[in-house]
Amino acid sequence: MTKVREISASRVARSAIFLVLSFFISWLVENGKLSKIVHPRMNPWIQGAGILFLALAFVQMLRISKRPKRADPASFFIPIAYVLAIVFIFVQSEAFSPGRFDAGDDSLAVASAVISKRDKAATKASMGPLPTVIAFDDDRYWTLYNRLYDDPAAAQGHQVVIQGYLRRASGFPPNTALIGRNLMWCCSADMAQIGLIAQDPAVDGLKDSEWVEASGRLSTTDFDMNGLGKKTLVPIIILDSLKPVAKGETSGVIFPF
Amino acid sequence: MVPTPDLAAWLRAASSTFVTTLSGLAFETIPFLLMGTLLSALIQSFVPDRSLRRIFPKNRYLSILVALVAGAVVPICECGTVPLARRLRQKGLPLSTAVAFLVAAPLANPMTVISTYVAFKGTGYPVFALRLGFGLAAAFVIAIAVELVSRNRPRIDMVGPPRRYLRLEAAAFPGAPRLPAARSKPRPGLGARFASRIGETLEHASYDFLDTARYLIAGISVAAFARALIPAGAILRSLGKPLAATGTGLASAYILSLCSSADAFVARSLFAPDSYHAVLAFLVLGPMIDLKNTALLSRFVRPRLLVAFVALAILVVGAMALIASPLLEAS
Repeated sequence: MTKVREISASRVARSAIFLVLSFFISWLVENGKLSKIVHPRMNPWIQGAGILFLALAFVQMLRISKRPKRADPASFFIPIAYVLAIVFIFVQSEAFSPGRFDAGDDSLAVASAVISKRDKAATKASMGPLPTVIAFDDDRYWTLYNRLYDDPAAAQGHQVVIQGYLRRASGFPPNTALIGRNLMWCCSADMAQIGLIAQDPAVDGLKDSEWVEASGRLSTTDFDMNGLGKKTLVPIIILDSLKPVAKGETSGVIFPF
Repeated sequence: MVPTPDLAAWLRAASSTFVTTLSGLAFETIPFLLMGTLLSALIQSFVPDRSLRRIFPKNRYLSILVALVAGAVVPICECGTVPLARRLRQKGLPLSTAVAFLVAAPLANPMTVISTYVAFKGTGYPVFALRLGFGLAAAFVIAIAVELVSRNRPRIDMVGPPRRYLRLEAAAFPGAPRLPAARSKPRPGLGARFASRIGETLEHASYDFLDTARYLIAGISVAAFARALIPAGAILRSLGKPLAATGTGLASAYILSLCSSADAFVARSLFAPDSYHAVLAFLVLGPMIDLKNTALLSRFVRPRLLVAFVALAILVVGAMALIASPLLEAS
């Protein structure tokens, strides 16, 4: 009579969770969704982890009939499943913004402009004179953003075209929104929204987090960046047009380094 | 009950922050946790206890210094160093040496140093050198304090079989209590030993990863929840006088729970580079201890050591920021 080998439930659960982790990472990489969560420089680490998870799953399958010293509790697996579920929701939706984004409260968004208060000469030298029509594209977004916040007055009167998420903050004045993209240093936990403020009744006709294209003329205004009561001169768009557009291949995330 | 528009908007914003923060922190830390548990398992299976004891001097204070240097060459962040430090302790190194490594590795590893240099380049302040210098000095002070506090107090230690630690420690480091030697077993051949050790390594790594990840995820969830509830603006508003600025730096580092390889960029955007109190406190404390690491450490160290470590880290870094900043401002 053939002896039936007993299968360890812990080994099955371990194999399953390692396989899920490995395939989830592959899916994120394949669909280009990883850059929504972490900076591309982290990709080799994460892909390496995906391969290691696969190896660990394989080892657990090889030992499937050998019980581990202790049975694994459910708490080994539930937290990982919960994290994967939340990450899945996050990457599938455009609605999640990097911060609470309440102007005058905790808007890291515009606070990032503090960064641009240094290295002005280097930023200016890297670009040369400002073009008559300033078009924010993926490659020059960070440089243009710095350039405009370094010296808002110099860009006054220039035409501008920008695509980004429309975000309305609770502390913003009426008819005001920020049109911008997510700046990421390392991962989505440190993201901040950077872009240009638009003031026009048209902004209230659009949904929050909608991907829009704005064009208009640049002007300046005094704005309380950090909600600390200290107003700073920032660029602002006097809108000619504001419309929802298809996001296409345009990146919603900017990686400065 | 139907939520009011303000409450609904607040809930939407808070849940958005929670999901964004949790996703980022999870994918930023999981590879390093896996790497840490794998390195820890490799040390367990392949590095004999005596080899480690040969690397680390018998003098406990010199051993701490070697741990600080070792921390500077291991390219992993704080999540990976926790299981690694516990393994060093299990291999019989003194607790103070393991703590020195735990504190120094995330602060002094090449990724942290380079990212700090890049983030503060052009500001005119050598922030990366200050972070490295003060961080290593704080690590040394904390390790010595742990050494003094834990002497003859076995409850102030890492989690694991303490008799084994003490036996290994006694064999190598003078002054530790002597215990009877363990019985030795006959060893199999080289090939069989290697295959068995590979299997043992992956088995250890699998178990340790699953065991540790739940604590890390609990810590990340608490950090994400705290960020959803506490607006960064509320923290920033307390900037001002030195004590408040230092407290702001410490609180931000603890709550934000950012990875040490990227926190310099956030520090640059949160604080003005010449707010030495806040910047130093933020950059030095963050890699040592934060919300997510407190949860992670709770799996590896006994509660009394955890309390002592968190208190020491906050006190030492806070004091250092308060003392060092006026000197830097004056220079």
